[in-house]
Amino acid sequence: MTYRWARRGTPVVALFAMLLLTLAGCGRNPPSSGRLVEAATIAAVRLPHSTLIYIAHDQGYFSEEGLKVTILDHLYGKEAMESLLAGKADFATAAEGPIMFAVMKGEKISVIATIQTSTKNEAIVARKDLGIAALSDLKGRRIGVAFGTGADFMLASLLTINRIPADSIRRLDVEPDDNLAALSEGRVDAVATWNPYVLQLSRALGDRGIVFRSGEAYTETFNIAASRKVVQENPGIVNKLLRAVAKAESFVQAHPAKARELVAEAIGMERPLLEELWPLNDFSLGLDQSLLIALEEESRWAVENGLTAGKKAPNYLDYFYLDGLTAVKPEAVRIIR
Amino acid sequence: MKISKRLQLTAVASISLVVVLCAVLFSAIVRIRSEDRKESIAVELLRNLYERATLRDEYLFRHEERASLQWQAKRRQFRDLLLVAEQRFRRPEAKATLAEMRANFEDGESLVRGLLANTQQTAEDPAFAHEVENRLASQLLIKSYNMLSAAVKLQELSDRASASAQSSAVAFAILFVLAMMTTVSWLSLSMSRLIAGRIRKLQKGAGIIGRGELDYRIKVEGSDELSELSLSINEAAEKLKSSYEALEDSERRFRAAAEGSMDAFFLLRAVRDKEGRITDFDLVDLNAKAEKMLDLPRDLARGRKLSELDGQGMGGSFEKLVRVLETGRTLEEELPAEAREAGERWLRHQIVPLGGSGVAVSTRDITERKLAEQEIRRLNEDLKHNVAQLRAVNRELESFSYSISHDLRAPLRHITGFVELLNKDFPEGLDPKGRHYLQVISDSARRMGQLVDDLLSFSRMGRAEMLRRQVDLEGLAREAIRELQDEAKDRKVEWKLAPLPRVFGDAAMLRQVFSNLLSNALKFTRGRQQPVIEVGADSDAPEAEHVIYVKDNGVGFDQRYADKLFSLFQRLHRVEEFEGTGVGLANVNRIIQRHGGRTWAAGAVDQGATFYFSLPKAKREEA
Repeated sequence: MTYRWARRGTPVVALFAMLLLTLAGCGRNPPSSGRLVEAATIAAVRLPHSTLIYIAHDQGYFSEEGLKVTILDHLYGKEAMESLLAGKADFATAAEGPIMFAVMKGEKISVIATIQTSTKNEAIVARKDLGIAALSDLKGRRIGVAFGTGADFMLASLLTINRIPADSIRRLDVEPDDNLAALSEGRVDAVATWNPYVLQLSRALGDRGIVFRSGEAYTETFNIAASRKVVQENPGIVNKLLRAVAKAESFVQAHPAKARELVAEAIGMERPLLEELWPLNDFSLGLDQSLLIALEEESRWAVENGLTAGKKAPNYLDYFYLDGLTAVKPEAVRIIR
Repeated sequence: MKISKRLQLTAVASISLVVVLCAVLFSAIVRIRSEDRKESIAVELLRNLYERATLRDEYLFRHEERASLQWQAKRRQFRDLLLVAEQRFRRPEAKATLAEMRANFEDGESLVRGLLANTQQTAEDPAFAHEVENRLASQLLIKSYNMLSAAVKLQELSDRASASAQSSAVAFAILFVLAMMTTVSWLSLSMSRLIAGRIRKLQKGAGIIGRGELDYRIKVEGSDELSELSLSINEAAEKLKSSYEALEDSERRFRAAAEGSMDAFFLLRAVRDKEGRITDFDLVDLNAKAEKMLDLPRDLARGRKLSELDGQGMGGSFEKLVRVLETGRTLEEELPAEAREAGERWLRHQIVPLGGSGVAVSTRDITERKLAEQEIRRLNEDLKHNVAQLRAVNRELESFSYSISHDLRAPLRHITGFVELLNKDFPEGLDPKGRHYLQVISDSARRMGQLVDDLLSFSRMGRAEMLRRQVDLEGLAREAIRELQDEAKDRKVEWKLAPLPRVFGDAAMLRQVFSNLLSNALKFTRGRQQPVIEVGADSDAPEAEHVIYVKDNGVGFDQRYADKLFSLFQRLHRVEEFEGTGVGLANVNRIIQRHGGRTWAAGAVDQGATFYFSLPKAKREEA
């Protein structure tokens, strides 16, 4: 009897299973087979800031979207922007600083998304042993910073907010990988930089060093900028890239440990170091109104301090490409329109 | 497993599924409500941000204390809301957003403090103060926008979670309902298939048994109600078989009895038209006698219509059969048959209705009985004729004897008269011998006169009109005894009178009966030292009559002559021993006969005698 029931029930069970499979499949993207594959080059900073790019690449999300992506690794955002501006890459990851300088220089670029935000990633690391115990002790000191970076503005903002005039210090252009040497050799008394250099420097200096975090003076953002040409001629490629990055964002949220493992491997960073840095970052995909404010403020700062040839901050809305992210993740576009 | 158990399990499964569905839906509703509450918090945060930013700007532009106070209140409220939100939001993404919001809020607070401090130092270095203010304001705006974004994100997260909860609840409900429908349909279908299959087998088996194959048995599967039903049908078939065999046996016996019966049996079934009217009868069955009566072999007779057959053996007319069938009353009648041969024939029919379907007719040839009855009637007629003749003769005889008696009295009177004259007028003319002869003539004439008187009395008794009424026998007996006591006052007779009934009859005649019987008793106890005469009623008498007796301890009689006692002039003793003419008991007999009773006597020589008479109990008397 049991056998007969089972035999008669088979079509019903099969139907039920098909129904379940159909319903389960509703949440998935259609298969990418047979789609036109397009090539894209991304100039990425080889730092945790570019986590979403590396995850998307590693997890094959770009391929899924029909993108054959080549990643050009860079030390920091300013370099990556230079690759973009030089036409070596279609996209670049960079903090708002390099983007602002490029725009002020008149480069035709478009910000398509922010992929990382932090208020704890940047800081001034100073030689405590040289008598620097407070921010005000920086007056008259030599402070190393990579010119044209986000850290350059962070240094200015932190000092100004703490009522330290810009002309009371001496800014010296120091590449991030030269920070420790510059400090150790006494070429500078302090450096304004970002992680992982902040952590590395503070550990290296130990009791001899002191860290002044940017705090409320600066919000670090890491963004994807695209050449205007790409955006105008092939907006589809932007959508594909953003869709892949959105998948990476979901992956990071769902599997943070696995994400850390993958990123550590991708950027060649020791796992413990990455584990320590990870909580300082927010790897959310978005485009915020605050980025407009930051870019405008940094433009004003650059103009006021003669750091750019430009005389006035442009309307940065013209340098934002919102359609891409609106198509992929509309709720993430929080620019007031 | 029993079908009821399966049905119960199906019901329990369905109810469980419904309960699970309700539980899941309830949980979804709780989740949706929770998300809605979270969304409300997010909306509250957003509103606070807008209001706070407005108040902040108002204060920074206008420096009103009131605006400052309101702004501070809003900041406190925001902090409280943030705490509530941090307790409510549990998902990592929301927690991260809230952490970002808190960081921005704290930074903003710090920036505000910076801004307020900067306004007091504007005078020292206005240009630098302006730069500071710009920087602070910009960062404050950035923080504000970041908080706004975070709040919007938080709201979106709640909205999405709520929508997701709703969607998953709806999807789950749909899936669940589908699953439930599928499960219940599957169970119902399986159950109905199973039951239908089994019922088909049962139906088939019952059909085979119903067609008469009583040896067929339904295969019993499983141990549920249907298998119990199969067993019951098999048992019923077994019992049916036994009953059928018993019925066949009974039918065989009845058929044998019917076949051996003197009556002809016909079993007829009504043939009806479309309106239900009886148009004819089919002969369904008949016995050997009926076969003979119809003069048709049984095989040919069966199935024939009444209209095709000689119906007289089956109760005669079609209408009669229809009447019996429709009234439902058995009809019995005796009819002369149309004689096919010489001689008259009579048939007795009994037509019995068989429900509404037909009739059974039994027919018996009663010609012999009828002929015997006719003979009896003829004999009766002869008897009546003879009785009438006898009565006429009797009347003539009585008349004759009366006339004789009456006419004899005159010559007898002459004889006795002249003997007396001879004795008187010629007392010396005759010698003693002549006087002796004259004495003999005188005695004989006197005796003859007594005989003639008694004969006349007897004759009158037969003709006299009877005056019937209620009579107290005991009173009559007592009266008679009293009269006799006077006669026998010199004798020591013991009279015993037991209670006697009241009867319906002629008092004078019955008094005569007692008088005759008691004087006889007194006479025949004459030689007894202690004569005892007893009158009573026999308690052992038949119900329909009273039996009265008169008993004495006199000389008795020889029982061999008992039947002669009540005949006229019959005597068992010589006149010299006991006087009398032999008319008294004949009179008693005649009176009792006229009352519809009878007389008899029992006795032995020297043992006394008992005389009995009976009187029928009249209805009125019984009452």
